[in-house]
Amino acid sequence: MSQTPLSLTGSRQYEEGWRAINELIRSGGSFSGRERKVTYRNLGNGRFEDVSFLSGLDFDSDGRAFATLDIDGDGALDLLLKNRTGPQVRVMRNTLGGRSLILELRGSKSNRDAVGARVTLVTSNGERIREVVSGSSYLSQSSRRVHFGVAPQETIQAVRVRWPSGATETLVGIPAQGTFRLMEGSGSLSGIATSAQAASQEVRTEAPITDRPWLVDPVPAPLVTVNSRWTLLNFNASWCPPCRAEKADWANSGAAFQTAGVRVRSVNVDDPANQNLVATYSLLYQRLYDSHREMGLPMTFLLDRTGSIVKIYQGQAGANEILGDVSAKQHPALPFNGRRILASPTRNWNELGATLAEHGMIAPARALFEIALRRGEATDELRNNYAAVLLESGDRAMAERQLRAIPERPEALVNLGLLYLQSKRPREAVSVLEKAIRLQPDDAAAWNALGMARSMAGERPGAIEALTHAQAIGLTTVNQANELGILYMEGGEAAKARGQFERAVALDSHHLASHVNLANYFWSQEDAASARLWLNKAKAINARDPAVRQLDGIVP
Amino acid sequence: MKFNWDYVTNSNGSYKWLLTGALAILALALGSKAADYPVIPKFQRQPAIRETLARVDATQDRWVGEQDYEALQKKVKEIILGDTELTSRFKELTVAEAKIISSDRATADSTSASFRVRVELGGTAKSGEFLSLLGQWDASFSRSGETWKLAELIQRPLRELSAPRRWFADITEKTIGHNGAYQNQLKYGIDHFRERLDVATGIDVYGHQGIAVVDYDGDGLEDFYVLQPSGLPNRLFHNDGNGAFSERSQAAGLDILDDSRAALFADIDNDGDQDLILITSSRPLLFLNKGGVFTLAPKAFPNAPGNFTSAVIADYDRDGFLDIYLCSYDFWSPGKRYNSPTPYYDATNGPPNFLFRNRGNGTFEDATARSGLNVNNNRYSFAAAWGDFNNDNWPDLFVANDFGRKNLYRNNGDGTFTDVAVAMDAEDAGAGMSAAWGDFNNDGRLDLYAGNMWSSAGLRLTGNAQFQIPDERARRLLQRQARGNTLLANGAAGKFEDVTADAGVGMGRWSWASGFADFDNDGFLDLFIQNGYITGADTHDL
Repeated sequence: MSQTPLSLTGSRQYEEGWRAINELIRSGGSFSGRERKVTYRNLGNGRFEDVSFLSGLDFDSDGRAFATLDIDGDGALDLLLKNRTGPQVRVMRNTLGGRSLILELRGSKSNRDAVGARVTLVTSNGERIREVVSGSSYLSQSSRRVHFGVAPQETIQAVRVRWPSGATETLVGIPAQGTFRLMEGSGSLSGIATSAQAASQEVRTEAPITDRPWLVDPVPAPLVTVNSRWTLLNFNASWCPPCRAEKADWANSGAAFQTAGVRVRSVNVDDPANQNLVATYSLLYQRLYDSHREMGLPMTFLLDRTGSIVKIYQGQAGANEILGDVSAKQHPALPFNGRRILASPTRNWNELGATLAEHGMIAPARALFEIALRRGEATDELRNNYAAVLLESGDRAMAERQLRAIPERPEALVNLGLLYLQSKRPREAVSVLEKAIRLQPDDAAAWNALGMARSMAGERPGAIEALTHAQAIGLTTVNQANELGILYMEGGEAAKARGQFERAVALDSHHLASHVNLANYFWSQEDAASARLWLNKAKAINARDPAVRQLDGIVP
Repeated sequence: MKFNWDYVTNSNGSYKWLLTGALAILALALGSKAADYPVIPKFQRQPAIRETLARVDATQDRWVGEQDYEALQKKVKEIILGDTELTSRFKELTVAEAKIISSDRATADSTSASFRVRVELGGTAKSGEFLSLLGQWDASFSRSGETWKLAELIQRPLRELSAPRRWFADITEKTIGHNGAYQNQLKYGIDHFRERLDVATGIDVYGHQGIAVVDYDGDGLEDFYVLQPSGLPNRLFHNDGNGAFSERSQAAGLDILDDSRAALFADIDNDGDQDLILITSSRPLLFLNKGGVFTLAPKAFPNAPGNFTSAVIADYDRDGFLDIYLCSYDFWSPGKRYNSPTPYYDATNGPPNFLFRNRGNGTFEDATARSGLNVNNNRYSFAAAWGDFNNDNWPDLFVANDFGRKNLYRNNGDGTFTDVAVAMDAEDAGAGMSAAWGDFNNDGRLDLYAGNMWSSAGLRLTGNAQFQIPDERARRLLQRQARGNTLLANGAAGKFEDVTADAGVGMGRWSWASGFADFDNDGFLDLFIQNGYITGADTHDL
């Protein structure tokens, strides 16, 4: 909390904090977990008391929503709880009893549900109000019937209703308890049946279709070539009992596996030769499920004849289960039937590829990006990241083509600018960076790169302008300060140059260039003592550097 | 004099912060040629989780010595459990909590510290009654080396409540336990499925799926509908009238697999039955009810970009047709460009909410701008509630926003609204999660209860005298972020008054749905609060 930025511009560190928290809660961490639900009883004098424990509602689930209704018709409000954790639903019966008047309002001139109607109960204790509400609190819709608790000695004198249409009506001679319906303009209550009307007991014991769903969308299996109809890429270890049991079970079904075209490729995770395979599949496994769990053993990836992962067996898999799966016509990816109204979500190839690339798995990352490109599912972000992977593979020309294909994407333009800079094409860099800044004027990194490009192109005033602007909007780096120092020196603005060099050395006490430059500055100002001081610091960083040695021979 | 230009052309290190898509971790590779410069990583790695958390995790924040709190809380708990005068009253102790809620500890190096501790005990008393003890104690510790020792403990008397039985009894198994949809699906938490379903099904960790009560078949018995994340079907439970509910999602056409957040059943076309507006994360969907079977009305809503949370219904223009207000948030998700709420205590970079007006012909139109609800419509909204706070028969709207201030839109009665949150003292800065109207003091005016966050760690951090940030307003707002829920009394003077402290209803922990109901039928509205964010396998909590 102490790191929360105080300005309107999010800081990088703050963003990273969010990212870290989100990764943590995805991968088994807890964040305000195991919290007990809270119930307060209204004491009727403006104060409440905490009855969380006595309420019996103080579960330590991750609660989200709740709805009230009178399930059993006893006049006391029961509760439905909705949780993130299991059980996701709890039905809670109110045991307190007592009396209540429950009214279901029906509009005629008003909207039919009478949402917004104001009901006033007039009793020997005074008046109280309720409104008909449709949706409230959070993600919750309680019963729309208004509920008035009626205290033991209390007598009811009247019910006044102000309908959304503007009509009002007053009812007298109301019973002190019960559930009733009130039609707008009818002036009287009618009963609502609270018992069953020959309900057909339709008990549905739907079992899950599968406890081990298939992948929705196959993923090319990295580092493995297949030569059979099905391949079981099985990760195991000799010290793992279920692995041994699995191996024995599969061995017994050798003939059946062969008939079905199932080949086993065993990967002992302790074998150093398998290190790369284990690392790659661990990461892949982690990222194919939102839970981001570490790979456990045994773990089996089922590959089809094209070499794509179609299913993952977490834990031991029986030979019969596998044989059943490979002969099945259906490959269900969901455990229960249902209907999709909107387009099905698709695999985020960009995220998966970027994760692999981040871990240095460049070739598999490239393969994933290319799937998305082939299918026409490539986003601009993916193209941008694909370009980074291409560059990593040494394919600068292809990277440039990808980046040029997304000319309206500011990050791509900046990356293209950097690519040009790296290729020593400063004028092209200036052009795309200027465009990037037109699209995203507050991008400090773009201003910084533009300054460097202009500097390389020999446009000194423009370079200074861009670099100081980057500093003004919050990006200062050691190389940038050093660069600015040099540009100022070139323009004869020595005082400003000194400021920037000092900034650079303050930012990084191991940055050789700025130390040399600061020494150089003092030498140019005929301050030999200061020059020597900074030169010695530069020597401490790298005494063999040619510039350092050169100065060392001059400065006393 | 000549400068060494090598340093210019080699000074590419400053380019490495280029972030793009994905996890915002991929930067274009640009290496430095000079061996003296630090090697620039080709791909900029995400910082180690724990390392980053050291900056955001209160328990690891050295400047207030937060890293000892878990241990100290444990010590206090041991003291409580060792107090036989207290514990001997219980036959079975089911709740024993000790939370440090304020602290005067200045730095990690302080050798003494005084704490206020919230103490709660609950269980079955020797008498057989259920017994609850609750209060606040003061504890002082001193430290030598790594060892903390209790110096002083002031045990103020604990409030005692007892009852022959608990208010609510769990009847889940009895009512819905015979359904496969419960035993195989709803009995499990979201995490169970996150470990089994391909992430490409769209399942997510947050669990923001709600519940709705409806009499969908018009038999006078109220049924309910349970929402699920993407990849799992929503479930409709029919009230069989015999104390049991049977699951009938498929027959009703509501076994929907899309990422669902909130369900609102209402008679949208005024034809006498309950239609459904299903709020999915990406758009609202209207299903019309015909004889208990629901059919999608494909073009009911105009296009509205957003990541929706909840929604609420009212006839805001009183034309006899129900309209809907949608709250929009922006959840972090892998692979998505994300703007963090900024600044944390008063974020105004959130996505817009929408008011959709029912045209009476089965379609809705966007009335957000026309109605004036586009004012201050830039926050992270979780929830809203309609209620007529000024008794003019026009429904007004309260919106609870995370990371900041709330909105109170007064209905002007001419199809427009004015945000009067400031004028009415109803801004209630905080991490708003829920909103509910209710007249808690029976004075004829609707009051407000807003769910926020209550955090013992946040309280002791922001309440500490050492918690100094330059901007006093920011400091106050940050303190509010941890203070908890708010009860705003609708006063006679035409303004709202924050009566949370007097009423004693601030503590709701990390609140989600919260609201009023008269559970004990005494004529006064009680409060219930759902809470808790993410419970993972890891018992160390942030």
